[in-house]
Amino acid sequence: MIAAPAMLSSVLALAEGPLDAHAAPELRWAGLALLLPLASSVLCLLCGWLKVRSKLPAALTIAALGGAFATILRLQGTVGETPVVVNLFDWIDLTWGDGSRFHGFTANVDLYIDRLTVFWMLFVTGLGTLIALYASEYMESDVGKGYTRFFGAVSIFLFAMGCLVMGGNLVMLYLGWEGVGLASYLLIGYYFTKPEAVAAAKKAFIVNRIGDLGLALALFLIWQCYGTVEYAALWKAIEAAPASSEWTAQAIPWLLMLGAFGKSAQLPLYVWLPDAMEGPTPVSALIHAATMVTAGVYLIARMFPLFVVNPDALAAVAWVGGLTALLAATIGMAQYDMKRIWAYSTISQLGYMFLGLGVGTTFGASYHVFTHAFFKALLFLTAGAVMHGFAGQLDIRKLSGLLKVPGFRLVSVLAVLGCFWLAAFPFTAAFFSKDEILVSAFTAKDDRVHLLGWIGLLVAALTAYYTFRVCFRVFFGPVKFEPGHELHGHDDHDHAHDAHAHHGEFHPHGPRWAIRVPLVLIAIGAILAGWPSYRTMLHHDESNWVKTQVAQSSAFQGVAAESHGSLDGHAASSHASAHTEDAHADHGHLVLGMDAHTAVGRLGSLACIVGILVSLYVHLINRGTADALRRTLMGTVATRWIVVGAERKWMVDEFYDWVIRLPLRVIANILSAIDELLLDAGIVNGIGALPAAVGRVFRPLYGGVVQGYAVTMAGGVALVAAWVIWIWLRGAN
Amino acid sequence: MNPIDPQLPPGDPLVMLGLLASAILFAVGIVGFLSRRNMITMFLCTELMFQGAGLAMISYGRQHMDLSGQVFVIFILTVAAAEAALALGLVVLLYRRKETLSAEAWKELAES
Amino acid sequence: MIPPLLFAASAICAVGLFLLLRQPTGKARFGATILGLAGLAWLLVQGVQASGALGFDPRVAIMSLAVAMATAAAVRVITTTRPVFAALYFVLVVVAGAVAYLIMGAEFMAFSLIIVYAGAILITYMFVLMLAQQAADADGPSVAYDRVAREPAAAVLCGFVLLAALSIVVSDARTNQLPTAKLEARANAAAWNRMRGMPELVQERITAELAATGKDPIGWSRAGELVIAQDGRTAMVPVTLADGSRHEAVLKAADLPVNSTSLGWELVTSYPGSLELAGVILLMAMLGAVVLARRQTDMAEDDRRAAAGLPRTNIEDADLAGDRA
Repeated sequence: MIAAPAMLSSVLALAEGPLDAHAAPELRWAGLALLLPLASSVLCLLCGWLKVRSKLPAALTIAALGGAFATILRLQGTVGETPVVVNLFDWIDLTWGDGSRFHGFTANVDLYIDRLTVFWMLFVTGLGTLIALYASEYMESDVGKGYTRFFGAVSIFLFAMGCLVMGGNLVMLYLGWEGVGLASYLLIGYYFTKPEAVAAAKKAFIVNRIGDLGLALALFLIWQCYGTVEYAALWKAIEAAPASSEWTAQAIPWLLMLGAFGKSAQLPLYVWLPDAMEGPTPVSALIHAATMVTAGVYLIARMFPLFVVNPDALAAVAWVGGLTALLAATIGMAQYDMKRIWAYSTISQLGYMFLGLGVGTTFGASYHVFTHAFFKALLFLTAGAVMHGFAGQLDIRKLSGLLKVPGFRLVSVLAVLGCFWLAAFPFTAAFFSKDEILVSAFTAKDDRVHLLGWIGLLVAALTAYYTFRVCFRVFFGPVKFEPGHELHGHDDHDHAHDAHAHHGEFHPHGPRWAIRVPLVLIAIGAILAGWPSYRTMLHHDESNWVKTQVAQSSAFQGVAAESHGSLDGHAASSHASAHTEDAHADHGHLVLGMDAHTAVGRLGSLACIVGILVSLYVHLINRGTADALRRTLMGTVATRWIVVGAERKWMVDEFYDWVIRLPLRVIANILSAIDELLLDAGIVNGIGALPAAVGRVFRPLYGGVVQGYAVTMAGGVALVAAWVIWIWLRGAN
Repeated sequence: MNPIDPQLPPGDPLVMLGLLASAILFAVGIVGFLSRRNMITMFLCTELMFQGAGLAMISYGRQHMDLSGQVFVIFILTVAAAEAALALGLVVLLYRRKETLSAEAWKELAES
Repeated sequence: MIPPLLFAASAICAVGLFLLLRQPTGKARFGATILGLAGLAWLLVQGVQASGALGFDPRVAIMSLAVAMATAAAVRVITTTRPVFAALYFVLVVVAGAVAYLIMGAEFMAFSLIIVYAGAILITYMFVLMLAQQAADADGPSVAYDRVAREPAAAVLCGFVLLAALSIVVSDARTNQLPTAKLEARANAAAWNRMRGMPELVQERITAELAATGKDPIGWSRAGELVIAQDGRTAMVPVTLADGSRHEAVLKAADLPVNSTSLGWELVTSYPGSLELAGVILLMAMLGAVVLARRQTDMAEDDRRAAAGLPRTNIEDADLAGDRA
């Protein structure tokens, strides 16, 4: 039950708050969701050790992930409206002094299970299972080579993601956070013989370090300000003292934000994600589209009570999200590599999610995460299937009309379906989730973010354009294809511009069941993801399932209940009452003279359809137009930068090279020179050379002849005598 | 500077001369030891230094009207005799090895 | 003695010696000798002046001569290229030193010096020279390797920095000197005390004194200890003469034991341990010299065992022989 609002003055009085977790030892079996992937990774390690040359690791992983998914499904039926804490075992439990607040540090291996946790884990484990099944066929050319390593890393990823989402405290979250980073690194660098893959893996890891530093600092500050890192206790502590003006407390959301931006590839740390496409496609689908990159969204949603007290931080989140969405969309328009386009679209959609978080609709953000996970996984997996069948070919200029290629019909149909979802075509799931975010942007209390609604609409149009650019180019039109250069090798390459002369006739091979089944299931999932909204629409029933899930968690702490929300609008504590009042004022927001909801629905549909129509003309009906347009733009100096900038990703990598890497390199070289010249050559070797030099000076004296030694002795005596005389003479005067 | 206090009783010029002679003998002995190559000459130079030391002993003994100075000359003579015996034994030994008396023939302590 | 002048004189001596060490010939050699002697003379004059002595004293003249001779001979020792000559010049140094000893009242040491150095040590040197030096070198031209002095500049610098230092110490000798009267009193007291340990000498002196004063020198007996007078120059011994009358026999400074007697007494009474050690040192030196100079015979291991009275091992030790070769 959600408690009625009450003027709660103390933590103790908050006995029945929505976040008042209770221990649930009977739910210990929920730990299986962590244990199974962990066991699977250990078994994969064992397989690697025993040099298993079969698909056993895949079977193990699929079974373990399926088990985890089943666990979560069961948990979904079990978990109530109040969060529960399941203690698996004690890990860190320290007290000192009198053991009161700030005199202890507790971080046990706990599970903090509320609706948000379960919601997140549902699609993580579900998609994980399906994608592992997909990968079991996709990676089959590596059986006996990297197969075991691949599935071991996938298991590690699922375990770490489980820790991140289900952990009962920030230490476990951090553990999972680093764990998914590790898995990401391992999987991006899966083809470690390829320099690009190694570079991309390192880039991802290093860029993530910047964000992780923010998260770690935030963690320290949270303990310093609130005296605990356990969620249950933390919410109470925030209730008790929400808005500290201490800079430490003020800094927490900003640092958390940095962590989230690193993991979720937002400005300014997004640069690693496009390069991460060097990894195998299932990895791109699972980690770099559907699940891991949403960890930042999860983090901010989970820690939302810390954000609501800091409107500036929220506005920053919104703006970063909106700008990232715009930037990534513009880059995505000008790329030719299918996986890369989907990578930029992922960044762009993540931008939407952060925009949603920033304008206060954790529900919208989570909903978009949910819908996005399915359709983006679908798009990546179909791209992977194409790549698999066409020997690594991903260049949209070299593939055409796949709908008519035998063996690829299903894949193409599903890909087109995914494109509609990504473009947020009216009445697809993504349309509703995006709608939710944009409405909130227009109606937000904070005036600073209203502009982001228009930016979001613009991005929606751009998204529709570049999505269908791929769609029309690759799946429609005349049948024409060139195989990639990896006729027998790996299938992950993304720069297959140069088609090697192939041996004889090239026959693309269509995917088999292990790829088809997950694709179909995920497509069904993508369709069903819109179900809560359809239900709302058809039955005028305002209780949206996702919203309920999100509402009964910390993510709704302090969020203004929207007028049309299913909740009674009083989930927030007394501190959020101001927001609650403002929520009613949202009715007054009019966009173009219409109610915000209606207006956004119409404008979003319009943007999508316009984008698709432009794309239809330029990329299907008259394919020469695109090139003509490009030539026209390139022909004028004033517009040339648009094309060059978009195609070269707005030079962000180069900018980082110049602004960050170059100075660091210069400093490193200077330090290295100092080390070599001053420390090594000067001090270390210098000190070593000094006795040798002195020795060389006096060496002629010591040719082994006895007088040489005698001269030294007599000279020394003479000098001592002279010194004594000097003292004596001075003393005499 | 050591201005001589006129109040002091006049010193013994013999002592002064003896001390000066001892210093000169010692210095010349050192110069000889350092500049000659013949081992026998070098040992003669050490004897010169012994002479200087003995003369200094005698002079100071006279200055202080004490017999200890002379007693120590006896010991110096003893040491000089012992040294001469050993040194000449060494010279003979070394000469047998290299058929030369040059001190520079013995460079085993040099590094190359 | 004024240090800068002292240093100047030392420097002149040093330059002279340096020039001489470079084996000049003819006029250069003469000039260098003159320069060195002038420096030496200046040094000695300063020394004599510093002592504050007035008037001419033949002992000072002789001492100066001896010092000059010793110095000149020492310089010849180190400048001559013939070891035999060097040894002979060293004899001259010893003789001049002995003269100085004599003048300074160390008669016993003067003669011991002559006997031990000129008589024993130098002869040993000559023997070794004869033994070691090739026949042609013995008195012929100097040995090739020692024709030119080795790094004379460095050597002279070392030597004369030391000389300057030493002469400064010498210059201070007078400053630290006790008043002569006091010294004499103390020395006489020491001498009379030594004499107390020599009853026979005292008896002899008393007899002589009695004879000189016209008393009966026979049949007397001592009636008490030797009493030293206040100024220490005389001492009195009460005696009972043969006729029973008492007499105070007065002993004068001239009656004190001579240098060699005193020295011997001092040696065995004050420094008995050192004396023993000196004996040990001499013994060890003798043994060492014997061991060092013994002809090393090359014997095979088995031969050595046989020579030592041990049974032979019958091991063919060609390797050992090879090592020795």
